[in-house]
Amino acid sequence: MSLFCAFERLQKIKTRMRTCTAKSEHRKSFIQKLTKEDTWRPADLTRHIREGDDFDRRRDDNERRHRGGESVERRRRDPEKVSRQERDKPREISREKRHEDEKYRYPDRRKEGSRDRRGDKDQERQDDKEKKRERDKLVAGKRNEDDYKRRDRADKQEKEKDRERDRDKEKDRARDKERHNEGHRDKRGEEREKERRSEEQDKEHRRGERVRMEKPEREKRDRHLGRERPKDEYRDQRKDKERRERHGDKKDVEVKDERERIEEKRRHKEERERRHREREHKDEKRKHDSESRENRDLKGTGEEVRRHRGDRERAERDKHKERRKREEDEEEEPRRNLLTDGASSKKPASDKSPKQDTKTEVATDEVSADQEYEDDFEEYEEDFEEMDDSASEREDEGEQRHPEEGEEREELSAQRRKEIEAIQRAMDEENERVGTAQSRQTVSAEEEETPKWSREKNLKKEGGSQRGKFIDFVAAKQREVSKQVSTKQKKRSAELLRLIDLDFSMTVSLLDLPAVNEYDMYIRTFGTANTKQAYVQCNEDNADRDIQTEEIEVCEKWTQHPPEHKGACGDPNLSHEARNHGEMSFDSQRLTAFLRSASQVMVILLEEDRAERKSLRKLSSQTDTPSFSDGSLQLNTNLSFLYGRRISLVHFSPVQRHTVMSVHSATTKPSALRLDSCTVICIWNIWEPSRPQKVLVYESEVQCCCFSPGKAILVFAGTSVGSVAVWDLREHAGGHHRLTIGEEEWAFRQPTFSTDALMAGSAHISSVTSVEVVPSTAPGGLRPEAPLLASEDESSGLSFQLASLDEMGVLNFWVVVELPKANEAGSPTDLGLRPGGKVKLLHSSRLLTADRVSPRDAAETGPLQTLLLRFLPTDSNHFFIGTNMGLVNHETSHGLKAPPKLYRCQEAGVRPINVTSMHFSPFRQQLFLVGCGDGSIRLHQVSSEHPVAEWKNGTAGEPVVSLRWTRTRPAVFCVLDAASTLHVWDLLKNDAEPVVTERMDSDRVTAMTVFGDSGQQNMYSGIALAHESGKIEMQYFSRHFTVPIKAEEEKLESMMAEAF
Amino acid sequence: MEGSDTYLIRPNPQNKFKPAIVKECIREIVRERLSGKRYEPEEVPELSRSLAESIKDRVKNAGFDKYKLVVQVVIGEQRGEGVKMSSKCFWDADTDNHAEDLFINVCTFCSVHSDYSGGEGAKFKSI
Repeated sequence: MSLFCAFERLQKIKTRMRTCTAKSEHRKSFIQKLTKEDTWRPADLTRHIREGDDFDRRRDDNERRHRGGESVERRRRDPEKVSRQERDKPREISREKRHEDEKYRYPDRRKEGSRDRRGDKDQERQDDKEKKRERDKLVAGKRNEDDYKRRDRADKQEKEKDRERDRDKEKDRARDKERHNEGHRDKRGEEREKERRSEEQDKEHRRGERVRMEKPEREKRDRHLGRERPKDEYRDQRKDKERRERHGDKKDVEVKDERERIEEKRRHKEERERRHREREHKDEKRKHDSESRENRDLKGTGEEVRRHRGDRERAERDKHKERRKREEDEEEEPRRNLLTDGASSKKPASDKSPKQDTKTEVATDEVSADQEYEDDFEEYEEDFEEMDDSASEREDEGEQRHPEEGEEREELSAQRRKEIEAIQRAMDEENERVGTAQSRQTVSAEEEETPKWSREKNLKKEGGSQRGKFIDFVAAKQREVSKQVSTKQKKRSAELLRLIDLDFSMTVSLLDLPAVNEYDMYIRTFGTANTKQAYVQCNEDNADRDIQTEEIEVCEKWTQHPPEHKGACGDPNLSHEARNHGEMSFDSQRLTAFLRSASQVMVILLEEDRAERKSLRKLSSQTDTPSFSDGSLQLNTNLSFLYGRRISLVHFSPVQRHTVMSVHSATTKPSALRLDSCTVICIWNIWEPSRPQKVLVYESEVQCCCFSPGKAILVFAGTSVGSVAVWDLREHAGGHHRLTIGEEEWAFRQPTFSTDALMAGSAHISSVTSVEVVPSTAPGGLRPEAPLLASEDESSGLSFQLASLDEMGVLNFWVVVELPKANEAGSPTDLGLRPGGKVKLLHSSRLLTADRVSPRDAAETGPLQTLLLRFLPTDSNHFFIGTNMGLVNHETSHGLKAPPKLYRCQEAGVRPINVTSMHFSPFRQQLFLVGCGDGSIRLHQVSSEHPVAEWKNGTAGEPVVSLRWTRTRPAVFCVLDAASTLHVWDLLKNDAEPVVTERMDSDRVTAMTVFGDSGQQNMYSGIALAHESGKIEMQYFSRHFTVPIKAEEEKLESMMAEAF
Repeated sequence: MEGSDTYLIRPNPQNKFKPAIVKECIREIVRERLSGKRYEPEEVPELSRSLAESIKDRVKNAGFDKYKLVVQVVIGEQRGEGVKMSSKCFWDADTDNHAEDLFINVCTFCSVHSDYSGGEGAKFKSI
């Protein structure tokens, strides 16, 4: 049962696997048939096969025959039907055709033959039978009819048996062929051979049992015979056909027999079929393994061998036929004669068949490869089938056969027996041979050269080998065992699965290797192992970038015009400031120095220009110019603070010849200014006449004044109240009282130092009549000319002494001291010092000059008044004091006695005459002029008491106000008298009276002084006249008063010599 | 069908499959055989087969009586591709177990997975 199930399954699987090609349909039907049968139980199956199948088929055939091919059965057994139908169809057609038109049947058949060999063969087989019968009939008819009939019947029976067997065999063969057609013809052949052989062996084994029974033996023998016979019959058939074609008239007879025969044939056929199947299965099952092996081996040469074999087979068949004929001949001598004709005609027919065979073979060869596989399965199935059936079947078969054989046995004639025996012998031989030759698979070429008989045998053997095979029991057994095991396991599993819970385990992740990303790949490739990662940096990215536009430097600077403070420019930065400061200090010094000098020059130039224009205008307009004058220059005294003031003094600096000082006495006229009570001193530069350079003020009346030696930086003044004042011109104007008069601002300088606050004793009690600088002894003539402009040696003249003489004859010497540092707060000790002042006077010595006046003189003339003080320019120790007695005292500072003691006029006696003016000659310093109040002018020599010359009426009795030597000519001097008359004396021209006398009545001249410079380049000389109106006029001497004459000094020398 | 069979369904507790031991076995063998090897496509089939064999032999000797062993060895080359392997078994979770080990070389990975599914056969004792 279990096996059955397995088969069933297998078959199902196989059917599934099968492809539904047209060609494979036969197989399929076959298999399906098998399948159907397999599903049955063996017993049933056998029964069915034996009875039902047989019956049915017969009936079916009958029905088909009668009804033209429709049967109930067919529907039931569809697959079989299909195959059968296919097989039957030609038959039917042929049958029908045969009835109608047999002539055309043959070609049709021939045509179909190649296509459907099996059907063709069936047909042929049938035809064969018919023909045989016909032939038999013919033979019978032709021959002795009785004999024939008898023999014929026996023959017929025998033949029918034979035919039956033949058919059986034929059918086998047909099936073989069918298989061949479908592919494995070669293999099949071998298989069949083996089958046959084994079958025969089996049979022979069995034969031992059946020795008693002739029939099986015979049957077998017959079968063997039949195996060859069909071919013969076939050929016979052909012959018959041909014959029939020739003798178409015999048809009627045939028809009758035909039916019988067909019936029989059918029966036998079915029986054979069944048997064959059984056999086949048995064999195949055993052989399966070896078969497959063989198949594999043979495949390569399969085709060739197949052909050879086919040929050989054919040849064998022919030979068989011949042999058989021979046998038949032996048996049926008389008939042979008859048949000779047929035999002769048979030959060509037999020639034809091989061709046909080959044709079909060739045709089938092509398909073979495709079908091999399926065939294998088929065989496999068949094996199984056999397994099931074989055991019981065989017995059934045996039983089944017996009755048949029993029937047949009776019909066997003695003749036949002999024949059969011979055949049996041959078969036995063959079987033996097959058994031995099993191992030999291929047929050697030698076999063809063997003697006919042996070759026949060989061929026979070959034919046999084509049909039968050894059954491989081992494989089958194995399969069986394995099947058993599998079923066991199946069973076990079925039981166990109930006990064990199987479930799916968790999915175990064995490996999860993520794809490497690009970076890792890179690192893996280049970052490890054999390679080294190298970094190269080229300096490309380190490019320099240039900016074309330079950065703008911003610096803040300022500038101002005009410069207010120290610098004209600067910036807020401190460092710059500091730097600028230093620079500025340096710059300012230089700048101020430069500016000072430059401005002076410029101003002078401008003033000159203006003055020149004025003077030219005056010259053109005015005609009252003094005769000695060569042009005049007027200082601009038209200032508000100078208005109404009388100019008491005009004084030129002895060194700076262009600097002039004018003393404006206090005015009684009321004015807006509070300076009225003050004396105003103006410092002028004659080149710059438009305005005074400095304005000095002092509360008391200034009696006398003088410049410092050297540069005119200090101004000393002696006042009527007995004080001596010093002005430092260097002081800044800011520190002084300033007034804005009109459009201009004026700084009114107070004296830097005044001796007002000094203790009595040291100071003057009476009014100071004269202040004189004690000349520093510069032996040897004239001092060098001071530079025109202010120079660096400003302080050079500061170490000098000042002498001041008051009316009482007290002569004080003062030392001019310049303080190193100004004290803005004022000095606690030096009370006379102005705060911020740097120059002060230190009292050094005091001399009483009046005491020396003899009391006799004093009694006569009243008290002696000292009026004038002059120092001998060449020796500062000698000073000359003019007195009111008309005398000039000669004194020395250190009490030394120096003759003459007095300088007096020619007349003896002392008269009270004031010495108003006294002036040393700049050229001959031992000569000095003395002007007296009585209008007399004396020329004294220092060494002589009496004058060199005395002009009593020089001024027409008018007191002499001022008397001055001119600067350029030694022999010329000017005298101003109180009547405002100016007398110019030229001793060279006239030593008795003045050469020029100029009287200026319109505007009285209150003061007069001379100026001039004996410089080589610019020699000028003039006279400054201070008018009553306050006008200061500078008159330039004409050329003859300016240019010195050589004889002048000689004249003076001679005059001096004359005097002594 | 002749009477119910008797089965020994479970292995002895001491013979029960112990993944740790097996894993150690696998590890040893794999380390020993594969360390320092490069992936050679020609050698790998043979190598994996022999590996599986030797692992199987070793584990057989480890004394898991009633077990059937299935050893799966996969050797692959590491070239940056992602690999995902997983296994799933249909088994009796009480008795059957598995052990796996992974060996990764510079250029090779080897995943050994041993399914020691006892199966019915392993517990089959007698009929």
